[in-house]
Amino acid sequence: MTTLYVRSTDGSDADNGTTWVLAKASIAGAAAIDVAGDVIYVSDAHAEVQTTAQSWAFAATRANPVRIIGGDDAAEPPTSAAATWTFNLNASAALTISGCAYIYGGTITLGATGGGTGSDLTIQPAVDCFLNFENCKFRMAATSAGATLSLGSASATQNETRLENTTIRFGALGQLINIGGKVIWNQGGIEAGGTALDTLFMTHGGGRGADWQFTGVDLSGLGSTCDLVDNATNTGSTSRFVLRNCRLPDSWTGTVFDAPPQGGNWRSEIHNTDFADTTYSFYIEDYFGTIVDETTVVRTGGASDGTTPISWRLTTANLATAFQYPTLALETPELPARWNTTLSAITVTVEILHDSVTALTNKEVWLELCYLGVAGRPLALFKEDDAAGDNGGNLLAAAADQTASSAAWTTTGLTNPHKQKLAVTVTPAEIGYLQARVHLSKSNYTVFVDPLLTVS
Amino acid sequence: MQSSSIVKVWPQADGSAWVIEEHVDEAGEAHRRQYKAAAGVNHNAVLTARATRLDEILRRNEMRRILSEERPPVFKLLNGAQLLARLRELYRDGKAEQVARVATWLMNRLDAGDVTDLQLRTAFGLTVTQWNTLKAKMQALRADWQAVEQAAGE
Repeated sequence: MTTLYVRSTDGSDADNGTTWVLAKASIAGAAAIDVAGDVIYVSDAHAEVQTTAQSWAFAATRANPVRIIGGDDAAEPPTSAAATWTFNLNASAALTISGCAYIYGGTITLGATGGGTGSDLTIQPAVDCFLNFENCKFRMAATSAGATLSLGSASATQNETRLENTTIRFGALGQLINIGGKVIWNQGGIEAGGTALDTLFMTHGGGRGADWQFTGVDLSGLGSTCDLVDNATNTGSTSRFVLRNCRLPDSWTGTVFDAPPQGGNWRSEIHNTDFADTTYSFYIEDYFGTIVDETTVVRTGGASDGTTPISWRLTTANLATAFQYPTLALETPELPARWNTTLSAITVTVEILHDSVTALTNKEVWLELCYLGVAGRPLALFKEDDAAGDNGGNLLAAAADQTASSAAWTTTGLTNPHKQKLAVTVTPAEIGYLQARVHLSKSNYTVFVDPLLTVS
Repeated sequence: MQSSSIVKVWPQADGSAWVIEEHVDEAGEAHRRQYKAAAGVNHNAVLTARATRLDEILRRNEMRRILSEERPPVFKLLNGAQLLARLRELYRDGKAEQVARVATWLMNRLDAGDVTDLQLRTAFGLTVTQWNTLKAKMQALRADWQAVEQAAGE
């Protein structure tokens, strides 16, 4: 392992980079000679400007990554980190960062001067590798819509990009973030002062898929009408998008997907993410419909955040030919799990409400319960109160109405409120969590679910 | 859009409301979108703005679908001239494999007789000489792209 130094103010790429005095002038200069496990210190005074395409290809592996750390050059090696180094590529040319590395404290700007459609920032981890950025800023300053920020490789397998407290700013409507592989973004967000977008993300092609998990990201710098995901850009890509505890633009009227999802491979889950001061905001969308938080039509004594009663409203898409029992359904996420210590027969119940004089049947809505039913091993069993009953049941049995309920609900806006309950009886063999989901397999229909599991 | 309407508003306890819109495209297909509106938001203004934007998104997506299919285009919302105009923009602004995909698809359609040299030349706004130069470039790109797609090991 070698320690390398980079400082634009007095460095030279002809030097060997082993001290501040012999520092490389450019990060590319250090990346050209690094080996796995190296630490590259970038001076807090580093202000690199380039006018041709740049490549930072860090020679490293997941087991032995390179670290690029901004540091106070008063000491060698630095004893305090600094997030003040800058890199500017003033041309319609790309910066490609690849390999396996942790990068701290840089402001990377593309196309502030002379920018154009080629002012791309391409962050492209190698196969089975990652690129982690902490306390960084990505500024897409070109005023061309064609300039692209890519996070994650479209072709490398098992690649991961992680942004920690990192911000992004855009310079033109039409720019967006192109995502591939696994991308985690914790804290940071959209930097103020940039151009409002109409869409924030799209996926790479090539069918590599994308798994996006964003937590604590401040998206208030987006336009109030910005949609989050271009859902049909690359139809071969399987993707899952999870947003938790994030802030949306004030009075946001955009949608998660810019058009209805066209395939079963897309699902977004948005938890506690809002423009308002709420603690329960909830939005799920996939091909089969949407599930959102509901605070008006709620069950008395049902789920609550401690102050506000909450239910989930399931609305299925208009897909009469798709909802064919038992194949396809709109599925809730797991309802808040219950820890169970009873090893005798128990009945798990979920209350539902809908707007019709006609009852829903066990081929239209049902509860799926996952419990520990095998003694001596943590092996889960599933049981459902659908027509088939459970594994081995008769799924061709005639549909039967789910049980009527007398639970009290606020039914504002409903013409024919119809209360029913879903219930599954099982005998757990081990203590552990009871995990349940509601399935709705009825086209163009709305059902309210109280997500509070009742166990008796 | 043939029509756009608000099919349901679900008022919430904090003064916001879930709004469900339905947009019926020119081919008669309905597209529902749902958003949470803060108190005071003009739902009709949002509906109108989204109708315009969604119309463009659906046409863009149709172009992408057609481009992903190796067969004569099946149109719902676009016509041939509109498709070529969009492909021309995509090619002009494209990069890397995207440019190769567009070139490959156009040259395949040209070879299959689904589109003529004149139609392509018109869409790209070129003279005969300019088009012949671009066509040769596209054919070379297609050959390169096909070589990559058909590459095999030992």
